[in-house]
Amino acid sequence: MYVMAKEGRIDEPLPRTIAIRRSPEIEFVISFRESLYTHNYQSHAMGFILTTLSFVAIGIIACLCARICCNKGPSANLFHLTLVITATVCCWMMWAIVYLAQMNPLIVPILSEGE
Amino acid sequence: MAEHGGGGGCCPPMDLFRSEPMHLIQVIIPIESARLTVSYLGDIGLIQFKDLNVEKSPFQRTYAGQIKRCAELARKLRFFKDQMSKADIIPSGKLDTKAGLNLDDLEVNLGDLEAELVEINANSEKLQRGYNELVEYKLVLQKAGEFFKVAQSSASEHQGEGSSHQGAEESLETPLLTDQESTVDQGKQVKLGYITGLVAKEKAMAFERILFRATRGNVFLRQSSVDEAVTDPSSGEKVQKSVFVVFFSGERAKSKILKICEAFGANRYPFPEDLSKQAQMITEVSGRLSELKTTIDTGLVHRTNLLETIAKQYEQWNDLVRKEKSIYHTLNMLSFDVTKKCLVAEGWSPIFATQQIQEALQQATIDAKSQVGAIFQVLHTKEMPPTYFRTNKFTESFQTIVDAYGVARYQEANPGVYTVVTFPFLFAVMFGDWGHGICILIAALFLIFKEKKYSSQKLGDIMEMTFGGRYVIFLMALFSIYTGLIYNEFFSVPFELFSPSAYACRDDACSEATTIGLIKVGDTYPFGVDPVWHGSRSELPFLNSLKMKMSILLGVAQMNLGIVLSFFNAIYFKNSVNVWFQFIPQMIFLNGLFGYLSFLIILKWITGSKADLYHVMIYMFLSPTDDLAENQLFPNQKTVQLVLLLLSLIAVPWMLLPKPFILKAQHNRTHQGDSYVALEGTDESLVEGGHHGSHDHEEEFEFSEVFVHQLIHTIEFVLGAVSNTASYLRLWALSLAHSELSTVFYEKVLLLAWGYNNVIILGVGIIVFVFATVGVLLVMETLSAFLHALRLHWVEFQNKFYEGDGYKFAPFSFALLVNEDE
Repeated sequence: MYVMAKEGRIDEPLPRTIAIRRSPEIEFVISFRESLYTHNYQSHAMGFILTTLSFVAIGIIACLCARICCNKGPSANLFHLTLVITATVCCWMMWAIVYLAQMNPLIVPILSEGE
Repeated sequence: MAEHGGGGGCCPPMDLFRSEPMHLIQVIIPIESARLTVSYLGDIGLIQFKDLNVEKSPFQRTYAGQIKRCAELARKLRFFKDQMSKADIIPSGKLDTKAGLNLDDLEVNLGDLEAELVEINANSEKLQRGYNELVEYKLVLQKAGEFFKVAQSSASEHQGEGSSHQGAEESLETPLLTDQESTVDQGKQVKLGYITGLVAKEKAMAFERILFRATRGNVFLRQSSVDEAVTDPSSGEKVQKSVFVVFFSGERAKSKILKICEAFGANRYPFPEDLSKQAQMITEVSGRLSELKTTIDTGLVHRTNLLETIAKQYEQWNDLVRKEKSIYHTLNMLSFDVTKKCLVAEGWSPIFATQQIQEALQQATIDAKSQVGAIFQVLHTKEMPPTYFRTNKFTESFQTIVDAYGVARYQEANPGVYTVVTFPFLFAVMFGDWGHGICILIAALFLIFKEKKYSSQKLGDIMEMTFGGRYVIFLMALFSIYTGLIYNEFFSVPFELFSPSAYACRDDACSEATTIGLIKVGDTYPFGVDPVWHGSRSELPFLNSLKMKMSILLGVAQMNLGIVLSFFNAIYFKNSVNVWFQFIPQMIFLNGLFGYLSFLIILKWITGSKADLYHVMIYMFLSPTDDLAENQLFPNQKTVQLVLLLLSLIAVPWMLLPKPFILKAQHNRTHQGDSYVALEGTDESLVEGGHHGSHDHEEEFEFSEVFVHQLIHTIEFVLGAVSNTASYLRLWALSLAHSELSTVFYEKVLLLAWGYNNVIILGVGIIVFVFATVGVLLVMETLSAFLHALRLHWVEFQNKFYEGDGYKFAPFSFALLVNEDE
């Protein structure tokens, strides 16, 4: 695991060569950026909670649909409920992971030379 | 049944989560209604009969004779099928279920039909042989007639020449002794014999040589090959042949030649010398030929008619015979009552079917006009019942995935319930691309819409497998579309579907976009990966970090689900030992280490901290008391880590030591003093029975064995926690491979071809792109992602709770019989 992590260098904020060339202005920009995050913290949390709530809503609607559309006795209903909840949780987890990972980025996109 | 089900009171019943409750039943059937009863039970198809005559060989059993009869009928039917396929007649599929059909009638009927068919075949074969002989004879007459005609005309020419040019100058060809011979000829004419016939062309040279040698050159052979192949009367094959005429003198030569003819398989035919007789023969032969032809044709028509009538009922008969055979097989498994008037059947059946079975028994008694009804009773046993899940066409394929690893132990938690969702989901994590997902969705929908058509016909091996898994593929495609949207990849192309990118240039000139990078200005991209990452220089570091962490988070979640299921099992079987000394320490161990890692990952994302998680995790073990310095993510982190580490360390002996001792104590308590064990007390020992091998019946308790088993289990779990978590990184690796491959195909094939501005190159590029996408990404990648998802379920998920040592319920059912045979 550790070896694989090294290849990825996932936790380095910026490539070292660039870090050396940081000028005061850039330092300012970065600090500004960081202040922006703290400022945005609320809106991030809001975005996260809102989408999570919509996932919950979708899950509940799907559960109701399953209950109404194919009502085949309590044990079958419980089975459908489990399926819907598992699916919703899986989808939510996937989204939440990607969203959280992009909230406070340590690395930023550096465009290729060609573009 | 009560003693197996244990409690089951922990949670409401859920379809598919526990296998159907079963009981062992005994049915005592009067002999006169036995066949009908078994037939009705076969229609229901919910009893797995036990073989009560294991010690008897198939020939010693009661109904061996009937089975032999059925086998004979089946042989006849196979013979008909063979004849039908030779005559290109397909048995009609439709079944008009006439109730009146019974085995005895069928036997007579089939016997007659077979005799008739055999006779027709024999006759037509005889006729065909005669016909072929006549054809050959006709050829001989024609060809040999030609020889004789040529010979005669040349002879008369010679004669004429000899008489007219007698005094003239002799040419080289003129025979020297013409005069003398011709004069002598009249007086003592040597009678030359001849034989005519046909020999195979490839043997003709050898035939000639042998003839020549055997008679020392005293033969005259003429051959002429027949242009088209002739059917040989004896073998019935088409052979190239040539007609021969051998002239010889003397009886000895004749007998030699006859033997040689026989050896070469040359068919001889008489040939009249007389020209008028020849002509007569030819007409006669032609007449007989046409006569035979019509006879053969009418015979064929008759045969076809017969086969067609057979074809109409073939399926029905076949079905009946198959059913009867299976009924007698089942009857053979029943044992005789002491009075020899009843048959005793024992078997497993699901409890829900009890009502149905009793009704069938009553119906059979009435229909067979039996005076005594069958007796139905439930037996109590310690044996493990078979596992039976009532699946439908949707859940069946998912259950197959689980069963392929091992059939669930009776009533244990079935991973199939979660596999329905998690399997396609984990597949999709590796296969995230909504373009590819749509392609697979179309294929899956095609299979689902053609369901009715395909399920009735026979498919090839690969097609069969794909068709069987159509609902798995369907869900895989749906989840792939979802994860594709999350990864923001459509054939590797990102789209700004949900909002503009959150990143922008630092200034108007955008000069630093390629050196330092963009800056995040807006809100986080609301759904999935920001499209700006695609093609950027920091794409890989970002995506690798994301996907690697995602793999670990998903893995820890799924493994926790597995351990929770083991908790449900323990509750269901009322096994508190497993709760306290297996479930709880396992939870603590896994979550103390990898749950904590997951927590750190999320915390780091939320706070945007730059702490090195690998450093944190590794030094949590190497030197837990060291100061964390800049790697600290939250206050008191060091204390928390120390506590978690200690808990995890305690969890290991907690898992290992107490359980064997407690089991021993329990065993001693139940067997202390009293030698009579209450039957009701068996459920505990049954549950534990699985944990210490199959020695339950002997009432033995090998402490060392139990301890070693627990030791292995503990080591497996502790090491497994690490290796299984690492194993989930395959999610990252495969999804990386998939996105990189599709990027390569898109950029290096499609975009490159586009760049040439040439229609032909573009066309070629599109074709290559399509084939690469379908062949590599849609087929190969699907397979590999499927296999990896399979492994994650079988090993990483199921080893947390799944015993998988049950055996499948195999009922006696006519419905299953049909599938089996095909």
